[in-house]
Amino acid sequence: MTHLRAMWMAAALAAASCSQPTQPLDQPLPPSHVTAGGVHLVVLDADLPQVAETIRLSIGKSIEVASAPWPMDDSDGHVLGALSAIVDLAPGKASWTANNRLQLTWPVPDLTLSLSVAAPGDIACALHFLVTGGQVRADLDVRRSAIGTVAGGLAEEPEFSWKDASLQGPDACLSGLEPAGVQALADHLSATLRGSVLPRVSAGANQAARTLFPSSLEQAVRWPTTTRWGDVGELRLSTTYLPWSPQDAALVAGHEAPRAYASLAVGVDVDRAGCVPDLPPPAIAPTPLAGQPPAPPQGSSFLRRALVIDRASLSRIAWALHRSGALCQDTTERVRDASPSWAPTALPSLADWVEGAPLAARFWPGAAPIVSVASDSVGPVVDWRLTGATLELTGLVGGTELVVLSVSGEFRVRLRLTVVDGANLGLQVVSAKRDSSLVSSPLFGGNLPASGPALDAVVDAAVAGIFSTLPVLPLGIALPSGTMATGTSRAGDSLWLWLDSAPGG
Amino acid sequence: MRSSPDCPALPLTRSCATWSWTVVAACVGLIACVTACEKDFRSCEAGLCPSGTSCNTATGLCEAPTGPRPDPVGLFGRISLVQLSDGKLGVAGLAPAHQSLAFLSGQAAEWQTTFVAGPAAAAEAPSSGHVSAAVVGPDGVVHLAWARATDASLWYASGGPSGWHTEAVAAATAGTVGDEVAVGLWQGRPVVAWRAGAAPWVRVARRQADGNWAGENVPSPPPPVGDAPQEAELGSSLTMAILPSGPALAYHDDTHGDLVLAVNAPQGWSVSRIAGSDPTTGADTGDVGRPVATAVGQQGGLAVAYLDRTRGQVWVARSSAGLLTHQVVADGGFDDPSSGARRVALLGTALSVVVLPSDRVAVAMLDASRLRLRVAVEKVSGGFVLYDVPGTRPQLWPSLLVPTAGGLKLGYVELDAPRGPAASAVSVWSVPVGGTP
Repeated sequence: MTHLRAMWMAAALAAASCSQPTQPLDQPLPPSHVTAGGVHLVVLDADLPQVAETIRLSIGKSIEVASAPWPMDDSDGHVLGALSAIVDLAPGKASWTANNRLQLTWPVPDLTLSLSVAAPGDIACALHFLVTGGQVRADLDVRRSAIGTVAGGLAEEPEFSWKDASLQGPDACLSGLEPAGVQALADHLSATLRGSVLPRVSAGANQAARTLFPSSLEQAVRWPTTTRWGDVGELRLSTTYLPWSPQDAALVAGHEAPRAYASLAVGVDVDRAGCVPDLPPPAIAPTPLAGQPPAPPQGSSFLRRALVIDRASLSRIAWALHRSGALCQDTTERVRDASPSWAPTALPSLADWVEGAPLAARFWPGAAPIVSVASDSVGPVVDWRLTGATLELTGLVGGTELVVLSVSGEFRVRLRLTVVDGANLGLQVVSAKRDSSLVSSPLFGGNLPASGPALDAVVDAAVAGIFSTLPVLPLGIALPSGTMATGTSRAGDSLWLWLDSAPGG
Repeated sequence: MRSSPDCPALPLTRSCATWSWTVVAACVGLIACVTACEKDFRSCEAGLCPSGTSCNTATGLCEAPTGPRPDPVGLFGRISLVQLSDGKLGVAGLAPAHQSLAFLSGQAAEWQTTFVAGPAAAAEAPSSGHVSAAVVGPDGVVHLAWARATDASLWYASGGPSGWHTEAVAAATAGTVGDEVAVGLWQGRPVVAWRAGAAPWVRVARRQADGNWAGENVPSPPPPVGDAPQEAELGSSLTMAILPSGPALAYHDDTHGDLVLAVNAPQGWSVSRIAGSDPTTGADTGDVGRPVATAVGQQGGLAVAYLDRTRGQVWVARSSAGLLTHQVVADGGFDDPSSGARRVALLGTALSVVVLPSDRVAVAMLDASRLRLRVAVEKVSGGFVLYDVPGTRPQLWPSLLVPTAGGLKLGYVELDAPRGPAASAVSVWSVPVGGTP
């Protein structure tokens, strides 16, 4: 029976889980259902070297330079022989130069190109082209395009510059060349170097710019919902980047503090299930992003960002989940584990009536969850206070299943951020218990003077059983592709989910 | 409960409800205005309070008399309401104060009690009667079957208030009888069905002309379509009706959550799943059939009332021309005025069904969230009219009966919670079925 019930619960709630197939949203959500600035994607200044390093790895630490033999102009028929060399990029650095502009530089270790130059009828002589003080620089710009999409890319062409470059070799070799020929040769070599290096840098930097604040975070989707009691509806969700100021299409702000961020607007709407009251969405304004970010996990060697979710967005999403009927539940999980003698111990007035352990628990949420961010033994958690809710316990009386206990009042559920299928953010229940409540029984009518550890134990087990049947509740936020969550931190009323990208991710 | 302040306090006294039913009709005529009032109030002041209760005109509620009940033998647990040959009613069930199977005869508040089994029937006898069933034959003989929990044995008695013949059903091996028992009469002879404590779960025994019992195992149903065969646990709810062709058992498949119907005919048992899994795909459609109740109409049609726990609905399946049709009788949904949300009561954990002479069905069901009973009577035009059983105390364990004189009676147990299970009393309510369109 338990097996059967569990299967049914899973089927009924699958609609609310992250893996439900989605459809594109056919119209924008009304502004009243959108929380602007409640979610941010943050890059800490402390992690900027990793940004530079990640891009260096995607470009390639060593770039091959090669060219075919080159007949030199104005040189009486001299020919530069085929050229093959490696340009190394040393670990670089990154820094914000404007709200939306990230400058990346990588030093290039001194470089010596081995050349051969031959005049007609002569034996080729060897030369060297020495480049010192080299550096590659790229400026990234993240903006919203004219059609509203995220358009990250190079702000201008990247540069490969150096302090000094000179041809060196036997005088006899160079003496056959006119000065203009020598200059032409140096120019050719410089162009060859830049022509080999800069396209790779452009490609890598463009990709990085698009990856840093990916357009995949923007979505407008809807998916069907069903409830335990047969309600069928739809949940609609949109996520869009916000320009950091109304006048500017740039997405990245806040480089004055030790982090930069792109903010998102999250819109949520849902068809109401019958088992919950018709309540408006919570009117909670997002709080500004904390100036001082929390400490990230130790030891990241990859491109790290933090997805910050503010209480305002968490409240809006909790409201939507509540409204969808996802919290209207019944279960036999954990309830039947209670002691067969629970009734006399917990509530002596039930002693003569109830046979054995409780059979099932039913939960009816009242108001939408009151959401806060808290710290728990498992780390930062989302705290839901459910007021006006009712928990019913059923048991056997004279061989027939009845509601034997009704507990009305406030319940507290704690949830932690989790990642589903490696791609979507969700909330997973870690604990659930009664906070304060009134106890009654339809056998007696009216409230019963009930309290004590035995009653607390059976009620808390029932509440935990109810919420243990919930699948991961979707937040409707997809992780940037190629990232994995490495930890969660709390800063005030916000949760910071730390994400690492694989090299080149 | 009185719902409208416009309903006048009528000059009816408690005695109104105890008048004969012809006088009750006169009472009804006096209070035309009550049609605008809420059901309980109307029933109360129309004199339709259950026997053993009376109308409190101040509150509009049917209330049991305060103080000790006239008959201390209360019943607790499932009961069986039957009609005796003298026109009186009979009720079988457990008398908790005596830990004995009791049979009440007469009418509510004036029941005569005989004990059939247990310490009250025979000194030193073990506790008996926690699970019982009753049926009355055309000859007026009452047939009872019950499981004795102390040794998991099955027992049978025949007789009536003047005396009982009791015997063990030898075909049911002691130690194997579970907590579901049904009894019926097939071609004038008793048939008992029970749930065993292990596979084969569902078994039947017929009493032969020589007084011996012949037992047989009811075959298990085939697994749902697409499922591998497996030994399923069966019969946590079990009921029996007698069709012209033989006994028909309806019971719950605890493993798959399906309702199973097993029909016996001269050629053997036909066993099939009739709800809970899609007959074509085998897909699970919910936990269905716990509990289940059956009845047979005068035309021989079968009615199976059952609970769909997944949807919180009570359904009835009816056979017609060899086909079963299912329809929803009631669901537990109600609007919670305090929150404006729709709640779903735990409806139908106790059921009883009858087929009226008009071939309409009536289903009594327990609202196990509020401990109130409701009776759904099928309308000629289809659908059901729901009647709330009046009263203020918790009501449990419905048992419907179609008296030979017509009408519809509901027997049930009313709890007196502060005084404990032993103070529970049997009440009988005449369902105003004549008013059903």
